[in-house]
Amino acid sequence: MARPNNARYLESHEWGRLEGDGTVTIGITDFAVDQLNDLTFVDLPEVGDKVTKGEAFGEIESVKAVSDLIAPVSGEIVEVHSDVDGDDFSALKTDAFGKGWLIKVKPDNADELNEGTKDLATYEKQLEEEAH
Amino acid sequence: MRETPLREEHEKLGARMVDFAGWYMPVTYTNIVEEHKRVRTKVGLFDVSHMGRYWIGGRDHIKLVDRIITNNRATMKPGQIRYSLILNGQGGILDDVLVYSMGDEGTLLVVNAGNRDVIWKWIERERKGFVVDVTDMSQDYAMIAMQGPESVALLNKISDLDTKKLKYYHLTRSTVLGDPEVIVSRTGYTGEDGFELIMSANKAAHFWRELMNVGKGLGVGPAGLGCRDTLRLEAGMPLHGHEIDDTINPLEAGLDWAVKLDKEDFIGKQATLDLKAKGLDRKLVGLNVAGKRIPRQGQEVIRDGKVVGTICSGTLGPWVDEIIATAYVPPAMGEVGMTFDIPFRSKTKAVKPGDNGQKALVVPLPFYKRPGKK
Repeated sequence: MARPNNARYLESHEWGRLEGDGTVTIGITDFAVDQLNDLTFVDLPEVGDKVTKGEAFGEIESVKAVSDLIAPVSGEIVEVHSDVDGDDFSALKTDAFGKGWLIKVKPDNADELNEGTKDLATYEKQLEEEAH
Repeated sequence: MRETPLREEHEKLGARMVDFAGWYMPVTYTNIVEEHKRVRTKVGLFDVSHMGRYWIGGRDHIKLVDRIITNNRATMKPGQIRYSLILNGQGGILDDVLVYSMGDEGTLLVVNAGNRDVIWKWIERERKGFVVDVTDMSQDYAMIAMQGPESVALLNKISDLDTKKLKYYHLTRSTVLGDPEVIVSRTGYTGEDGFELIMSANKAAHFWRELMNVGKGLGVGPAGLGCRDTLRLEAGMPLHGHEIDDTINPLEAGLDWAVKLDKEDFIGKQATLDLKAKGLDRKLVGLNVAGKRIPRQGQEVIRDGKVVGTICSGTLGPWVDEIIATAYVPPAMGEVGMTFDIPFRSKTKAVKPGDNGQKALVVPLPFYKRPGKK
């Protein structure tokens, strides 16, 4: 799966992408989906909720463990992926950067997305290091 | 981190490696569910070399072993294996172990990886006054478990051993892949039929590759620690650090059958007798949990709005296809059919009034019994 060049990445494997309409789409990377691999439950917030950069906006659970989902930007949620919230993970497994998105946020400050996050090359370097 | 002689084999198979009790071990090769089902229907290979293998020989080996274990070593026949506990003076469980009887020659203890140092020091402390030779064979030998209904067929492909004669919880020294010194035991930690092989560390990689190779037609595959945990939990087997630890007595964990209170003195016997006389405050139960979320270790168990217990382990059982868990609750609440609430605090949604979380129902342990087993 080609990872998008126009997204920003967190060390904890979330991605955020600024869209043409000014919203930020947030998801987790294919690597994270692969690592979790036996997904059982995703807990997402509701439209209108606020998320804070660097803090948990939800949880993702697998047979083995529960992990926080970390927001790459602060803002207000404008859309939630109802399939994933309803425990249908098929899109997440096949298209983590497209149909497998988790939430869409209207950012308080879109520039914040670039602060403390990684570009694709830096993120992929991290993945290489984690593999060793 | 310590590693086993099979590290390279795991990496070649693309395993996800993790730190398990200080060991660099495979957690999955593909995913837990697939590996779990392979063990229930075909045969899976586990690297269990990280477990400790301690040899106790010499004139007094049986006496020393019977002092530190709860089960009875003196009554074991050569080639027999017994599950046992090692207790501290307060009756808490230091480890659960397999005791291999090599007759008068000696006793092999197979201990959990995470308790290797604790048990080694315990033996060193207790051996004083006994004429024994104690050897840590762990590094010189490796251990591979083959588990699942096809494990008999797999073993038959690599040895002349008559598997019909090797009964459950027995061992034999046998020639496997041309090596005459392999210890083969009919044991495991999955709830399936299977064997565990102990061979020289330098032969482990060869054994692993051959098993993978000759087992192709039988559906063999590698199985990681991830499914080892879900398999043992379905089979109702305790894991040290979860269902049992050094603050829990075997009576509380439902392991009475492995504690021979009529045996001459052993460490922890008096404390166990005292507890038995006084009565238990808690007992281990199996829970079937409704809903979507999996209870995890340490989570609260509620009844009538009060915290009455704690979760030990929980998972989505890949074979039973239900959320299962173990927990300690007061004995009076431990009857099959009792119900509890397991609260889950969402990170994102406020708890609605009247939302008590997910319902949990006490069910008999184990959650899974293999077909044909009594």
